[in-house]
Amino acid sequence: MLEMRRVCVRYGATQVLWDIDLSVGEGEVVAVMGPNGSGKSTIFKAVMGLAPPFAGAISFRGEDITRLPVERHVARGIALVLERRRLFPTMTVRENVLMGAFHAQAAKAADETLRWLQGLFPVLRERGGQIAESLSGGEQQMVAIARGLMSRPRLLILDEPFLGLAPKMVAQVVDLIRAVNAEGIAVLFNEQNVRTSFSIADRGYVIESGRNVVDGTGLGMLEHPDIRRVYLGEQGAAP
Amino acid sequence: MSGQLIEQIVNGVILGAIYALMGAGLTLIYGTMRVLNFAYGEFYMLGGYAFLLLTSAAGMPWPLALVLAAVLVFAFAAVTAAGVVQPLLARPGWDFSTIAATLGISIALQNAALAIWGERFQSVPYMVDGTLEVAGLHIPYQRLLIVAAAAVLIAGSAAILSFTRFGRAVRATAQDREAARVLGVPADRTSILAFAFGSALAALAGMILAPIYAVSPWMGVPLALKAFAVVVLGGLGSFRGAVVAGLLLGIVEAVGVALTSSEWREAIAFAVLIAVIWVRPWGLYGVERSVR
Repeated sequence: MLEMRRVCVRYGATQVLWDIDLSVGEGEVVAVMGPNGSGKSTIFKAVMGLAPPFAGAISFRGEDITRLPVERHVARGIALVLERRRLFPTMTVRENVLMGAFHAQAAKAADETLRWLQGLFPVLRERGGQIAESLSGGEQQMVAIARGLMSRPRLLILDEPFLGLAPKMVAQVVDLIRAVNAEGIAVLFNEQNVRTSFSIADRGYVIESGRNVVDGTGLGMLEHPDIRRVYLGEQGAAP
Repeated sequence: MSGQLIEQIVNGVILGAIYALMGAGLTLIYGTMRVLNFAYGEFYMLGGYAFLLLTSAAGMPWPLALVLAAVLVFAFAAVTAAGVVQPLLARPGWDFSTIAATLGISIALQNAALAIWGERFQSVPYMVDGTLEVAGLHIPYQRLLIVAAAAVLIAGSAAILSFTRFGRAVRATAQDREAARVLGVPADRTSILAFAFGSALAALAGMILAPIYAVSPWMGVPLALKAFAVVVLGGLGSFRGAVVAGLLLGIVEAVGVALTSSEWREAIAFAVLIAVIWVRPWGLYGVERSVR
């Protein structure tokens, strides 16, 4: 469904992604893992048009979207939940969620979508009239994910969905991702913790310094020598 | 004395209504584009001239001229935003240059007006004649019309911001441009339209004030300065803040002048601004965290 081929991105003169290959199939849950600053978020920004590649190609459901402007992605069926939730601070929870249905087609189905999401996210019913910035971090993450889902995406991309959340909230967001995926929506997310990632992901990619290191399925990846070196911080222990 | 004070408060409300209208338009532009539009007073001026030409030269009835002149200024402002401001904002590191660019537009428009229409102060006839006599007060209907028109325009703008798709796009873009774009809001187009919308509000203020103040190439300068004061006083980008601050400033100014003399007008207005900013640097309705 989503295909990235040898994608290269730079910010100004600094290149941050080198030849990234990545794919997400229909209904799949895919994790992107790697240390801080390795370029995980930039991969998502490249997909969404926020950091357009200078080389390589990105396609979605057979259509080239490499140079598609940011605001046109949502109509193609891609939703991105930005790092740190990024709710509209002085809008209510309800207004925030409805902004997710800004795109004309989604707007038509907004009432129905909202009913579906209220079942999935109790916070929407309980706190609908509250100003977004008065919510806790975990609640804000729920609202941000709900806002992303309002556009009825085929692919939901979550940038650091667990960042700064208490363990209990992490478990709730994990359950939520499972529930969303059960509806047939593919999910692409990033997370430093490999174990958390594989508690939901079908497949994973490890990125280091803007390059693919290894990809594979399940915790078996943890046994890969490159992962142990890069990721678990084992600097090739003495023989 | 007390009758005179009441009269000054009435004058203050009239003045405040105009300040509120001017501030509302400017804060809308700042909120969505993060641009201090130094050409704002010239859109007010263009409103005055467009109205003057349409009514006196073209002989159009004033309500029609009001609408047509607002549409003309809206279109001109949209072209300015799309052709000058937006391209500068799109270049990384060039956003600050919008200050120089809008200042340049301001000077160019003032001098174009001078070249085309001359330096003569031209007057526009009252839209409505007569004077309201109530409780010893004499208020010309024209002044009441100013308050009513400003109130309708402000309430209408607030309704557009709250209830329309365009309004939601403006608020989302103002609060978090990137998040809005990700959700499908065409942020650039929204900003251009907000710039034109705010400029049209300034133009309308220029039109309804034209019968009282004369029309001239420099008519926008003092009003734009006040609009900036109002926007800062209310909290940068806050629509409600601009309306409240505009009314407040108008009343304080009028009463202050009544108690002292008219030479103190600007001193009083800007002393209030400084005093408020001293205590609340983020303004009356601004948010503390937005001060960096």
